[in-house]
Amino acid sequence: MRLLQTGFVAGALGLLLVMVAGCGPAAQPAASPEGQPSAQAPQIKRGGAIRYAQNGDPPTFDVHASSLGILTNQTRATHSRLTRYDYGKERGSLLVVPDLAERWEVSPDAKTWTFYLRKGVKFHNVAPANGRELVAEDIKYSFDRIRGPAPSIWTGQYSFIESIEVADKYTVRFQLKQPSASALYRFTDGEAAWIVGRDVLEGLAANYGKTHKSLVGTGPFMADAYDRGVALKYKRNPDFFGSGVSGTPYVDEVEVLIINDAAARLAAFLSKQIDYFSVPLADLERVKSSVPGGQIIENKGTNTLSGVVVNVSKPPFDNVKVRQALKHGVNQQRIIDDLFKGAGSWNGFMPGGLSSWAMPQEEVKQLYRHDPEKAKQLLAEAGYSGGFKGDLLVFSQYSQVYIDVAEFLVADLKKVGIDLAVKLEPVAAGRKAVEEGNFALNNSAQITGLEPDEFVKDGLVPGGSRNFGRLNDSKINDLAARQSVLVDAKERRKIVDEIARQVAEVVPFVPIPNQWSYNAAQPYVKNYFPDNVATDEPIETFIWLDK
Amino acid sequence: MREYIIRRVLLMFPTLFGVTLAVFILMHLAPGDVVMAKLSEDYVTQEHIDRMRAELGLDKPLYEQYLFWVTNVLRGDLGTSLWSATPVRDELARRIPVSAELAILSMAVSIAIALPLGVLSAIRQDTVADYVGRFLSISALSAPNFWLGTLILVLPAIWFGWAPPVRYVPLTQDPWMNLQQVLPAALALGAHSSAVVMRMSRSTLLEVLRQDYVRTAWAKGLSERVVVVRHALKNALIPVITIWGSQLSHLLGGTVVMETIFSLPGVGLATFQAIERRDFVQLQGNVLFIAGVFVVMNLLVDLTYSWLDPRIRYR
Repeated sequence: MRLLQTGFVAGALGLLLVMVAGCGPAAQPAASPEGQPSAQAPQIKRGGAIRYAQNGDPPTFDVHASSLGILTNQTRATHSRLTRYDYGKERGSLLVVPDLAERWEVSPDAKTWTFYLRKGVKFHNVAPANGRELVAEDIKYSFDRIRGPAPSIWTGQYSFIESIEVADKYTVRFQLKQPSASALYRFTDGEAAWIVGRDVLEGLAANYGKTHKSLVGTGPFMADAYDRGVALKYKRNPDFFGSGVSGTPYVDEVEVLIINDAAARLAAFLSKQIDYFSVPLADLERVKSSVPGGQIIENKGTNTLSGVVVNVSKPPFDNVKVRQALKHGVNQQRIIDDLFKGAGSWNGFMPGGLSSWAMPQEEVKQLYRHDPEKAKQLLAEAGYSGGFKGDLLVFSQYSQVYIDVAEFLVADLKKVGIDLAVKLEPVAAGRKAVEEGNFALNNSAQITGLEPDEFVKDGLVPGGSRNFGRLNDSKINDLAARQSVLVDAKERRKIVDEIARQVAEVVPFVPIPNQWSYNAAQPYVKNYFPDNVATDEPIETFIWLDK
Repeated sequence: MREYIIRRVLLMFPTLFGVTLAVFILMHLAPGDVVMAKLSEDYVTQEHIDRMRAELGLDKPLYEQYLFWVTNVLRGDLGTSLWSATPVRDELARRIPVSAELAILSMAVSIAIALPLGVLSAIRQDTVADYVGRFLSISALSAPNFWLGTLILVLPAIWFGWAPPVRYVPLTQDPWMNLQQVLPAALALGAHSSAVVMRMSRSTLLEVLRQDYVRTAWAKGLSERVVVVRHALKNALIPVITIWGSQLSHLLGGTVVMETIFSLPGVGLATFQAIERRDFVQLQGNVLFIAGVFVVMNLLVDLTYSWLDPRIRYR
């Protein structure tokens, strides 16, 4: 086994630390198609070029200065992180595997993280790095930059790090202010945690971030050419360390085309000018019938928490029975059947796409079951047997699906006596109202993330940046604080489940089902697993073309 | 004549700055700014947002921002894009040839289709040829160009698995590839103007053909070609040229839509993106250019009148 993660029993905090990666060790080729071809798999073919489209030029080439996908599409090709997520069918499980670090250790008090780097990893063989070896100093430099002030946008997210120390050429030690359950996720974050070289930034000086030549890292591809508004081109890095799979990347070239128009992306896919894309639902049947042998990949879960946030400080929603009535008044199944034509799944707290954190569908269906009689009874107990009127805020110029779903919610709730009117507001003004608490109910995408802290600490606890419902529940506050420092994923999962049950009890949030989304790939694209939970993984590393 | 030209040229300045001021105000009425478009995340600290705004000069009062921009433009500096940090002038210089090619090609398409059809419709009035021509022009007139463009792009992809190349290649590098990409866009863009021009040339030619001097030309025994082309058409073209001038605004406005649909990296696409990203410096540079072309073309159209009809004099 490549991983030498060590288990400890934490003292004062009583933390049980088994596998740091939580979900088990990395070397599980059966669960992951990223490894060498198995006996029945076809022989991997090398060479060729991958082409896909994105809808604009990156705003910057500074890998720490933006989280937009139009930048991370580039970063993931040219840079690497200490650790990465496993690539394969079960993307939502978020299994962390080694990347630049070949293994890591966590101290018993969970405050010291030590990463042991792979030896012989080389930066791209272009100026200013000129193919020099990656050393521990680069890790320290990168994370000091990420947690430092602007241009990094991640200062707040990495404030859990107290200091970083280079132990030797290949060993780096992170000292944390306190144990942090989300630390490993932060080290793996595909939006932020990219490793850069000091010589690259200093060599390019004021030009760093302004041109594609800033994209010098240790990643599978090297920036080759940039034609602004047209395309970014990458060529294979012959010195790539392989990300744990020898011989990667398999293709010689990646070209990212800039295509703004959705119809143009469809035309480009149908005419085989791009190899894969995210299919708008309206075009799904067209794509199926026009590309014989094409692959359609159904993404059944997302990592976005969608639904109605309830402002618990606004009467009558300050009464927990009223909120419970909302929950039992809503019919998720009808939305799935009638609006999504069956292509959707139930949601509870923690979005369904994060399979290692979401509750099983059966439990979600029980907790959020449609029960109009119960809803009426709860309303009567709360003193609203005659029902009441209110507004449901929805953002216009935003995703249409929330407006459509709102109509279903209004119809469902009217049957139990809650008479809501949909109030459409432009997204900027609407968000402001939600942030300032000038709303009662808001149906929208609430939080997108990969890590419980993003949903729990930010979304449910007083002071959390997205606790728009103004919830202050002592049980949740307590559980949130406990899970946040619990590094053992299995123990943490139990607490997260407890939080999810308590959320269903106090209802600061009424979930709506999520609609499945679709990606399409040409028949010859092999080993393609679209990034449906936005991990920003370098998927092009493992793809090969059978043509 | 010279005084007239000087007066018109001087008038261009208030026009152009009026346009950029209107764009500036509209841009700031719309919610959001370039910093939010760049960051797009709620968790970035307010401090970070403020710092970025300050770096870009967005923390200053609006009138100061506009005055700063105007003073720089008068010095010949169009500023730096708020999105990509590249000089607006360089960006325009790269993109103007693409838009120019598209505009010229659609102009050519519209003339090549419209003029012969218009003439044919006029000299064969109320025949099948006339009806077909008029039907085509009404259809082209009613179809919005974004719809036409999308159809031209998507239908061949669905039917034949072929679409115009989406990766732009400059004319100088590979003319054949370039034309495969620009010509469909020019067709979609030129369709509307060709319909207008066709109808205009038909009706003015019909009118001219009924004039006394044309009857005299027929009476002299001149051939149909000489009567129509040399005597009638030149006079019939004056209103048509006015229309061409005004069609230019359609073409320039249309490049925004057409370049976006066909992924042509011209001024139009840059304008679309600048609006999307709230990059008002790039947007104003683009608008200044588009409005400039528009004003100059109008002047040129006015001046051609006196060449076509020597009775017209400017004072």
